[in-house]
Amino acid sequence: MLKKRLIGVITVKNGWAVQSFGYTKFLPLGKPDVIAENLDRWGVDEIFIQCIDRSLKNYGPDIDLIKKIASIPLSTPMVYAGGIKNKDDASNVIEAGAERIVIDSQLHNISNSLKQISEYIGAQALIICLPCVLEDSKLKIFNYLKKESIEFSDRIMQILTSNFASEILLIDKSNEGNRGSFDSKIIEMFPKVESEFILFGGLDDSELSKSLISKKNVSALAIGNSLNYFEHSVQNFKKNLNCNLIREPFFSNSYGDL
Amino acid sequence: MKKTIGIVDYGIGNHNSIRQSIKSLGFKSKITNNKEILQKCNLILLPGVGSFSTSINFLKKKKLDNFLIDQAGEGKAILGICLGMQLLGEESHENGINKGLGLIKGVVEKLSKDGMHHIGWNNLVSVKNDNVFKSFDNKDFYFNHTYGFKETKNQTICLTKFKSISFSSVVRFGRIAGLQFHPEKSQNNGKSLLSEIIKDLCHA
Repeated sequence: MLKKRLIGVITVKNGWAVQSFGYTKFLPLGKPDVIAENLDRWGVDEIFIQCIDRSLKNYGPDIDLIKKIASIPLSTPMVYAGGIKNKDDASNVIEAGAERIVIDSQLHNISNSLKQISEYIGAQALIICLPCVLEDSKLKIFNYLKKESIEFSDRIMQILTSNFASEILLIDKSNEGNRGSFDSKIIEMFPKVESEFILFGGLDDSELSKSLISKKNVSALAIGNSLNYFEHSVQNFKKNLNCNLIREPFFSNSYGDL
Repeated sequence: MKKTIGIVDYGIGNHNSIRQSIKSLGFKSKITNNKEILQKCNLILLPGVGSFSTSINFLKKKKLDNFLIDQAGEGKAILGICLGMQLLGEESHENGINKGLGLIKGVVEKLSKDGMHHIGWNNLVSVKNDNVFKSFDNKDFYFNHTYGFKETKNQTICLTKFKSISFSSVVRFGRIAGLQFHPEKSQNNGKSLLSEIIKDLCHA
């Protein structure tokens, strides 16, 4: 049986892993590679590295960071987001050691680079990111480049129904960083699409998480802050979730060179 | 003496991931599309990630397609991972119909008509006795693909089930093997399996 996934999220700003609160306030956590090594050892199902300042500053993807994390060596699949603009960027990210990439800023550009990226690396390696907000009882997409919320346009709907990507990373932007607060209305109000959702934002509560991961169109839960700083947080979260839809918690007996 | 694994560089692929994993298992590796270097390696590895058409066209452009077929004929150990396994097949229907290396008797097709992707951790079901894979029966490994072999001519060692679909997750024909999943990204089970299949193919 294909299991649903628990994804550990590492938010990176200026090269440092940070704890994020709605992408507006940040607290430093340490080196991203150290956190990735912990998540790997604790048996998380995927590791998502999101470098939140790469697109804003037009820096391109952080290839050195991807290589550094891949060199741990990481035995967990790595997903990367940040600064990917075209198929060359996407190819470099995959070659550096990521299995999959997340695209956000390209959704708001007119270029057809999303299609090119999809054809080049395959749709299974491509995830579309949609930070969403509920405003005036309407579901809107938050464009963080312009810092404004926009409605689901025909062009965005065309992208979402085009099969360019394999999954949609659906972020509850308002509740990101708040405990146990993911608003399930975001899934209910989302336009009808075939793709499955990875949910992110305010998902540390096991009861809420269990009800969300049980939904047919949800393939994974992505959790940031709370998985990053407690020993064995992944195993404990899976244990508390008590859900046979995900892999059982696993305790490694390997401690490297210690 | 340490075995050397030649990782075929076909322009796109997770070369760094697989190289790091192989290194941690105690093997040497070279990432290259140079035929002379690959010929000297104990095992040739075709890594995963990317689309079939991009990768097979790159192999053809570098004249590596015929080289790999010749190497297989001479008994060289060859291991394909994910897309690398699909390249071993007769043809693929991803982005049109493209011929593969024809080392495994099977056609790579969309797993489901509606294009569902098979992404995440799933288990292997042994369907043919094989010394390496029998100890990994029912263990979980990481998959990330949309296409695969629905059947092969008696070369499927393990199957994996996804919704109502069943596909070949491990194929083997002598010293040629293909893994549809990513052992290098499947934590402890993946490390053990990768180590054992490399040793087995090299000594077979």
